[in-house]
Amino acid sequence: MTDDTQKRGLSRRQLIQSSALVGGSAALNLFAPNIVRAAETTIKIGYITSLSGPRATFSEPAQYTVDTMKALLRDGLEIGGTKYPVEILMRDQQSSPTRAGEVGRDLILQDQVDILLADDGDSHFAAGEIADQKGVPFVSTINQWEPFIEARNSTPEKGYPWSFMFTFGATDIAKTYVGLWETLPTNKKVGVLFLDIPPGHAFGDQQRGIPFFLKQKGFDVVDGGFVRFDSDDFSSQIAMFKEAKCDIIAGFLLDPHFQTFWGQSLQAGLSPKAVTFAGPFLFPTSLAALGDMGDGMSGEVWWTPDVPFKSSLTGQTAREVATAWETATGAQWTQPLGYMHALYEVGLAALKHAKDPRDKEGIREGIRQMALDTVVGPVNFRDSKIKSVAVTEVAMGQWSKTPEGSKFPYELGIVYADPQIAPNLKPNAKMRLLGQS
Amino acid sequence: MAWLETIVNGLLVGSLYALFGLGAALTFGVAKIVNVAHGEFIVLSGFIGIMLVGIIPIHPLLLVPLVIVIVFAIGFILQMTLLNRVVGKDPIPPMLLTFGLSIVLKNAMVEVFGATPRSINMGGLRFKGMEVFGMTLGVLPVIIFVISVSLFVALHFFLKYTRVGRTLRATGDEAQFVQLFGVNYRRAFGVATALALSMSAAAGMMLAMRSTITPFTGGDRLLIAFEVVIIGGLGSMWGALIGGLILGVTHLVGLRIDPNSGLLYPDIVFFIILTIMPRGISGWRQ
Repeated sequence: MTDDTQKRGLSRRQLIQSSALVGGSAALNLFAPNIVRAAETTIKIGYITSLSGPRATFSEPAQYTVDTMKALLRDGLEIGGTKYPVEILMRDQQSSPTRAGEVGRDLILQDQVDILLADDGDSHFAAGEIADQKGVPFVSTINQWEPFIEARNSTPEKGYPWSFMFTFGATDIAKTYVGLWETLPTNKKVGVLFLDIPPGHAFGDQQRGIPFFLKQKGFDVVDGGFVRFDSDDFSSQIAMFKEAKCDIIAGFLLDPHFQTFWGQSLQAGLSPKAVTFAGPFLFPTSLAALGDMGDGMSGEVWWTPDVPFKSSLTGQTAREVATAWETATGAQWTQPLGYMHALYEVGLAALKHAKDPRDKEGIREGIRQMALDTVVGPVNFRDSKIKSVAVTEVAMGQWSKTPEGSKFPYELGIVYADPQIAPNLKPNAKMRLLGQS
Repeated sequence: MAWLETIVNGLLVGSLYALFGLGAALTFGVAKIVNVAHGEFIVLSGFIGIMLVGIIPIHPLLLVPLVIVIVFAIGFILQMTLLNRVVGKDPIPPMLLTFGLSIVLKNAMVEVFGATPRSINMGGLRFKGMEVFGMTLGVLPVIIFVISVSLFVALHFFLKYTRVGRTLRATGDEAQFVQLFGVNYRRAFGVATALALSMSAAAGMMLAMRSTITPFTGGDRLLIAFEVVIIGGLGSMWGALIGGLILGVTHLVGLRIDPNSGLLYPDIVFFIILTIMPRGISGWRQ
């Protein structure tokens, strides 16, 4: 801008005059959209998800969910006796927290959404901060609530003014892992390794992660440490596990790391009774990539078609939601499918609670007072001990190879649920030790 | 026995490290270029391999020569069209050029292949182990070791006994002087870079077989390559092999002692060798 004016040979006085003009018109513009907005009646839902990048597998059902919701809201949404048209603005955060902040800011400041939804685990940092400042209701999910509360220095008593999250807890997951292992006939020796990224540190935390609860319950922990993202070789850790004769191998890795690790483990002749990891067994595609070696792998479950819940929007059971996806796409259901559906259940229920779509306080009150039965189970902000958070249930699942000729090579059964953490999730399969049929 | 196994595994992964270093040693030894984009070329070769595996239905190991040839061509063209314009007395311009190239390559790879970690599917070979003198070793790492060492041996004979090899060595010693004997030193640089990158191509392919690669993997590999070259002695081929093996063994032994140490122990060894033998292992002998 400065270069330009110099080239054209403007004097300093002219420059100041023209910038004042530009500034003035910008200031005027600030008021204009508000007048237009008052007359506008379309409800705008902002939706942040990770369509590309390393986290893209999570968001496989995102477009499908948006399409389903658009079809459902074809005739608009009724709020306070009036029907309003609904617009869903989906934005890709490219698996980057920085990008999540940018798209969140644009949705809030430029698109002026009435409610912001996110299923990515990153947005609550930057986008949540802007939502809190600007007073826009913001609901996210598929994360652990502890990092959500701690990320911006809040506490379970304080919460956040406008940011909310319904999700499972890291501590609950760790407890559930240990609970499952307690039911198995093993030598109580557990080899653990965690990927050196934030979720890995949450799971591997010595104070409240998996190692803590293992030691509390009298397990021997053989620490394989935090594994660098660029690890080419796991033979040192495998040698440690082999030497200690670990019956259980566990931790948090992403599926490419797990495949390298497990390949080397089998090369080295490691034969544990249970392999339980967070991360690599979330998606059926990762299991398929392991070929026959995926049989018997176990990990945490937050949603399967077998959970006894129904959608508050469509009345479909979990099984029906999954089947609808499988029919529409030909792909096997994944866990985020249920949570994405539930995210819209929560968002729309909050909107309906308001007097009109521009009543942000009312929408927020809708979230605060919410005790909704969704397709992922009860989402209860009203009676939650943790402010701004509704804790959902988590259990343990095991993948089993399906008989020849089945539609998909693997299926997931719930093998363990802690009655305190997951009172509604009931095991529908028995945990098999590796190598056992 | 378990420790011996760790050391042997260190040698196996070290052979791959050595191969990372070999390319860097060669470009430096002959063309006197510090190739900052070396890591990116390793990863690029891995991705070319992953692509070819999807297209050509033969065993991935048989595709290694093909990728070597493709990357040889890329290296030759790169040196002839781009790097030769900036080589000269001053080592900075080629370094800046390759630095820029590494950024361009990295972002281009993110655009084309995405940031998801990928690997070459080795089928059942990935899970196979074998008993050797009471140790259980992976078949694939052993194959990779054999290929790496063979490449070193092949390159040794090529440089020592062929006409082109002699020309390359002479150019490495006195690039200006060889012109008196009718050698086009720029073309010799071209062949040197092409050879260097084809060694990285083999390394990249085998890295993608052994573990996983992303467009961001290159930076770490460059670091390993530099450490290997400097431990071994600048520009020395056999030094690179020994440097790689030392790094591999220290890496795995270090992880046995402290699983959280990452690359700390190799870095310490690198630092010690640099302090007591600033000219590297091969330089110390002279």
